[in-house]
Amino acid sequence: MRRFIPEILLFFALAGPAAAHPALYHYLEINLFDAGEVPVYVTFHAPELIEGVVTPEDDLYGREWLATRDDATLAGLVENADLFAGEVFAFQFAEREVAPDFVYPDFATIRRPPPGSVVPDGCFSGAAMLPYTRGETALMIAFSATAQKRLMLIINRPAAFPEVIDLEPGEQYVLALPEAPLQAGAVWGIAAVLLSLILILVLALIGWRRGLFSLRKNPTLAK
Amino acid sequence: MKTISGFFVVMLASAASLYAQLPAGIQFEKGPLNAVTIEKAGQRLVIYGGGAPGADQVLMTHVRRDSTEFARLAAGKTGKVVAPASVADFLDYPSAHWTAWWEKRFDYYDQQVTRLPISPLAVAHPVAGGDTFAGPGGLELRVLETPGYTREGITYLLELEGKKIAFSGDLILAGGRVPDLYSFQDAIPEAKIGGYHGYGGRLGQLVSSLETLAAEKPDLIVPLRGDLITDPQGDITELITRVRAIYANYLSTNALNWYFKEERLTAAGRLVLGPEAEVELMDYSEHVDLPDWCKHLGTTKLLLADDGSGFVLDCGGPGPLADLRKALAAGLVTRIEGIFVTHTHNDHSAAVADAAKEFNCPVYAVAEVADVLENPGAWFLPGTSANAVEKVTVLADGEKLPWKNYEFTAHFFPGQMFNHGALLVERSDHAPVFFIGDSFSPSGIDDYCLMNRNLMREDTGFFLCFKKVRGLPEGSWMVNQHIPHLFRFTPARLELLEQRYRERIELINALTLWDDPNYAIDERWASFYPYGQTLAPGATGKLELRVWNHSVRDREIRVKLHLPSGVTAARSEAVLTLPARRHGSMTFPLSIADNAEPGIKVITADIASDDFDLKQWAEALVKIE
Repeated sequence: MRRFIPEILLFFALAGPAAAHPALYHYLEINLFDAGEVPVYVTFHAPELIEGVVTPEDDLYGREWLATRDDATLAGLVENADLFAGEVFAFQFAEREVAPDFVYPDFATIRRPPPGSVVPDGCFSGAAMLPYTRGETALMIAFSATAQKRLMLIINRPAAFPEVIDLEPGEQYVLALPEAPLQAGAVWGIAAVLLSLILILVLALIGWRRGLFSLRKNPTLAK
Repeated sequence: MKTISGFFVVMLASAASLYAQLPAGIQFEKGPLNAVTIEKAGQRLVIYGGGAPGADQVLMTHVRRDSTEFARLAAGKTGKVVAPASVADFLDYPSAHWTAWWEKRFDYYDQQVTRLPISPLAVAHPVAGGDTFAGPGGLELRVLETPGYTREGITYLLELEGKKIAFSGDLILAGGRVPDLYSFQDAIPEAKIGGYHGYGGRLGQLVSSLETLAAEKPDLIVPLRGDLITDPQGDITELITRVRAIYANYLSTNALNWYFKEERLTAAGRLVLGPEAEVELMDYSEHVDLPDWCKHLGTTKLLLADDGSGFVLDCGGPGPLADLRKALAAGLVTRIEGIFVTHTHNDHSAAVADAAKEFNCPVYAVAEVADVLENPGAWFLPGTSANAVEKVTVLADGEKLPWKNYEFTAHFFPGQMFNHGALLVERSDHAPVFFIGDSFSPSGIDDYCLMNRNLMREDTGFFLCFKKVRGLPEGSWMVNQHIPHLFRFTPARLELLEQRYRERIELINALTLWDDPNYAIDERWASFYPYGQTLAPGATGKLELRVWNHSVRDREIRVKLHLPSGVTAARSEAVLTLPARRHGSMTFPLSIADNAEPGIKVITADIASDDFDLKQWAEALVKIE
């Protein structure tokens, strides 16, 4: 979690996921750069998060719409985004289901993404980190049948072109994961076992040497 | 064979009998826009416009440039204007719109008709549906909310001499028709569809408005244009039937079914076709994964050569550009050697200029795309990026461009938009792949935005695309820039698409009074070039009016400019004769006065021919610095 926050903040500050056309597809982007954790980024097309029927006069699809929303409206949009992500995406490592805790940019960033941002007009992003452990070799991403449009799932790996998977609502994808490094607890456990073994060996060696020494002092026992 | 005479100008022999059905107290004068006057107790009520300036009260049903100027003339300086409340602020200060429009016209995806007034008009009495108000001499008028042709449309109901008369503006024309189809383009919030994808987006509202109007059982409807409607119930039924047929046809071949799926398109369909209607959608054609040599990066496709170099199709924004940079940095591609731009929408073109500079590579496009890329401000089209490309190498239709282990063939491909190309990509180890931009998806035709100019003519538009797809080498695939798949239509599927498209032409032909349906779908059939230009005080410039004669007969087109203060033209009137199905232009040299006020000025033009007279139809922007 300590590494996660700066990474997400940097992500929001510099770029955001590159959703090409948010009206046509949902976008879920996954970076497989560090084994043991899967950062996932969802691009939310804000006009689709509004509850109820709104009028076209609101110019919802204009570039300025998000920029001119007040805090209360943005808070509502973020809340709906979170609900939406929870309903539409499901993540599972083998038998372990995970519920991502998405974090969102602050309202100022949602209104005016920074220069260099690749977040399209009318959109904002949410990001979550899904840590996994050694032995969890795949992540299943399920895309709800109620999603109302297709999903562009983009997998980024080091030194490779992004892998792009086009999913229909109701489909799922199983993503093979790089092997997670041993966790800190596990490392300490192994270290403790090793230390114990060494200690036993040392003690055994000492005991053996003492035994040998007493035999030398009393050779008759050696028979 | 229908007649369009009577739509705008020419009086029909039977007109006298039609007008006789009006109460004696109503004076009706048919013209390019119909004038209605009711005099009562020494006061004059004007509906739409007409008569001498200084009417006591002038009723407007909606706001278009021609109808507003018509009302303004009737109101003079003293008349009280009644207009929809939703547009009162706009009418009060339209220059705010035009000033903002200088920038807003770029990257524009709201797709609303731009024929809006330029000068302010004070609205004395803003009204909304359900209001009743008193007209001159104690006349009682009632307001119905009747959006459809426009967002703000209202209808005035008046009972006079035992007859209930509806004044509904452009909501419905005689015979169950409307002035055009493109005006209905709008967002469909119920289906979460934006304005750009909202073909016929207000047809649902039209149907509801017509049903509301029918429930009032008017004896007569007096539209803004054309003949009186003497059989309101019959014409309303006819119009509802027509728009339902068009919309069902549109949905049945719609590319959006690939993206939005059944739920959304059914929701959109039922707004027009009825709450229980079955919505027919086309299933998906054969599609497979992209080959390894083609990478999908947002709306960019990157083709990789055997030597590791790359050729790019489209670069729509910072995302794909960043992906290309990363690929270069990681050594996944050694260099970018060229960019072909399929079409001018910003999600395909916004970063082309930046990419060309950064990668020091040429940009290629067909001529119809190239000029928009180089001079974006000269065009008004959906989603035009202001980020101009310095130099575009024009590839002729059919021109071959060998590159590494590939052979490319450029095509003019007026599918999703008129300013659109395609690239046939051939290499020895794979079936040919036709990169068709955004023109088709595995579920059909990308024709959801009429402002893209999807001309419905045998010699161009989607018919030309169908012809080119049929002419592809056997086994060829197609690729849409948004979709990471190869796909192809079977001959039967192509046949069906073409057949449905032909059926829709006939349906649209019956919907409007134009002599060719392309006038009803092509908002830009008469338009200025450049759409926007910047000139300094004392400078000279020029303005070209480009006209497409979609008719299958020769036309003489008469043009009259309306110039704002500070702008003069060497001539303000011109005549152009165009053969059938040809397009041409006329040029107007402009001069800016030395003392011209800085700001955004709007030039408009009346466009007339033997059977239409369209006031202040086309517009151009001049920014005086």
